[in-house]
Amino acid sequence: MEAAERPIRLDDFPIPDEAATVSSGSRSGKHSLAGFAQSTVGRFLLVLLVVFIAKQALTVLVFPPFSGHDEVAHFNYVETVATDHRVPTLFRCPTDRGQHCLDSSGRLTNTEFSTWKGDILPAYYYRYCQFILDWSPCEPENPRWLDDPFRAANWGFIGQFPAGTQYAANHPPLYYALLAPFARAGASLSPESMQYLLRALAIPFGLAIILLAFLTTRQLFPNDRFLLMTVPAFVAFQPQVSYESAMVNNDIAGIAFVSLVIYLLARGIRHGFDYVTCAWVGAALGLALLTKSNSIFIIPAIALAIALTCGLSNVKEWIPKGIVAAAVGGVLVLPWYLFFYRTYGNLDAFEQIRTLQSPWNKPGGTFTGMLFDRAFVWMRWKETWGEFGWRRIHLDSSFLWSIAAPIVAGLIGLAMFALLSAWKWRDGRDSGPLGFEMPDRAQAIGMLTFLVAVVTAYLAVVQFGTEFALTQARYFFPIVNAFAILVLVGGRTLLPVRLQPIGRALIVCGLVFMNLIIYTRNVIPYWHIIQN
Amino acid sequence: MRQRFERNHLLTARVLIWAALSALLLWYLRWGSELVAITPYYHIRRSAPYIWNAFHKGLPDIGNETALDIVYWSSITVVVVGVLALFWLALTPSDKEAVEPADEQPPA
Repeated sequence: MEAAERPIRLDDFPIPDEAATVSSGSRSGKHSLAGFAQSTVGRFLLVLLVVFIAKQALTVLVFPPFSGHDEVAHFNYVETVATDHRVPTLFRCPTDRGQHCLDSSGRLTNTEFSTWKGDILPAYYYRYCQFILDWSPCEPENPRWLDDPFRAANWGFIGQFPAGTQYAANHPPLYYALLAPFARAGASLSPESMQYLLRALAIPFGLAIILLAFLTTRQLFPNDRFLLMTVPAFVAFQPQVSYESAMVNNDIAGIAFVSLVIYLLARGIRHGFDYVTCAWVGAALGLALLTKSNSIFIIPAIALAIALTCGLSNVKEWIPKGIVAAAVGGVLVLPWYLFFYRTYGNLDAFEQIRTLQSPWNKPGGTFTGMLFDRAFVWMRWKETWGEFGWRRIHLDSSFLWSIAAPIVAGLIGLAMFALLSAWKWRDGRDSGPLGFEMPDRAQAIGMLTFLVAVVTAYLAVVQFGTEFALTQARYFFPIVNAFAILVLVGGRTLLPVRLQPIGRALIVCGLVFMNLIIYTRNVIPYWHIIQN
Repeated sequence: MRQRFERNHLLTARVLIWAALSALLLWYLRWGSELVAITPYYHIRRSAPYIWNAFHKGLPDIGNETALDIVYWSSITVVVVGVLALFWLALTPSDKEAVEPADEQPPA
């Protein structure tokens, strides 16, 4: 039987690094887990997960209620699902399902907002208008507006536009459906208390992402202690992924489901893509798309992984397998997109969003213009490590450069890894210089797949910017696991084998200090009173 | 004999590095300070314990105050102790990392 067709067995996943704890097919799963927990890597992972939970508990509490990006809108989406048993819809003009509502000069053709369809945010949330896109004029300190807030804003020449609408309604429903039972159970809580409860429910998604980072690494590098420790640590201490994992927002669930796709790809690359694995990949993709639409960027990586693993010339094998993955994913998302088309007349509702946000969220520029714009790149870098909420908490540029330095070093190491792999492949040597190790076929395909995923995710952010200037780095966070593996393979390449224990301790130490400094220097002083 | 010496040597190096990283972390938590922004144009220096105490004082008014206190202090304890454990575990060499590469062996 070909490797590509071989079914996946439990003993395909030996527990790394401690020979005494290697699981065998005859052992029970419980026994294997106990053995894993006794291994150094297993203990590291368990401690990391416990530290992550404790760190996230503090993160949930340190940010004031509803201060996360779009947290009010996502929270209200959960409320609508929990109480009305329906998904909210975007506020839109009554003609042509909310399309073609702007004239050539950017004015609304219909400003009788009482005739518009769709959802608005409840008046209660006007007190948090500073965190909402865009509920202006924002004067929550004036009690007059708290009960009867502005529902329209005058933008001068272009006239009146609606304000305080449910602008997260274009998101698919899975994350909100998962949280709705908890929202129903806690219906007696105040919105603020409920919001902290829902924030805490983001932590399991974060745990799943770290676990998937570990499992993905183990598929491709089963005996590499350096990567098995540093990749999950990188993900656990990535400040913005942690932030997403402590707020009410579908981002964290989107990251988790794309991480699941990435893990299944690594597993398929290592053990072969049989039809069952392809169906699982399709199911994970469907769940990701039902959580956040931007997950679509992972499709090229899926296609590449299946095609390369089956063999590019083996078209008769990889095309049907690709079709299976696409069909399973397609069946899962079909009802949502049917609903979407029926409601909005298109599959992305960009036109309706553009109508609502046209006074302040214009196209950011051309694709190539933004791709080579240093300010655009620097802004994405700032958002990747700081900014917290709607670009609120800025990190010093020197600090951002100090984060960039080791990552750039990792990317240089990655380039070195690629060059050495190509060079040494000819002369048959498989290790050195420094920490270089010749990749096997699965590792080579996996690394290429991850690289494609990372590049595609970034290009998707640029592409979104051509529609809306308010594009953000968080749209590429779902590839955090792939990115971590690429950078840390590069880092490993630069470190001689005997120095790798020190290297990974320094990486963990650096990650811990990065978080400690960000919170001590920036986050806590921003939100909590520091006496003069 | 040589192997035993190397094992002791590795353990000593590991303990020293772990102690240095741990001391650095604990020093920062006790005596570290940061320049924090009061306004975009006005910064003051405050100690790390002072800043984290401001967070403790500003815990949200939800649920039971004692329960929140317990969550706060237990989380900080778990993070600090857990991070020290992570340093130690990260420094544990695998068999491959503990073995002297063949080409570095002195000639017999």
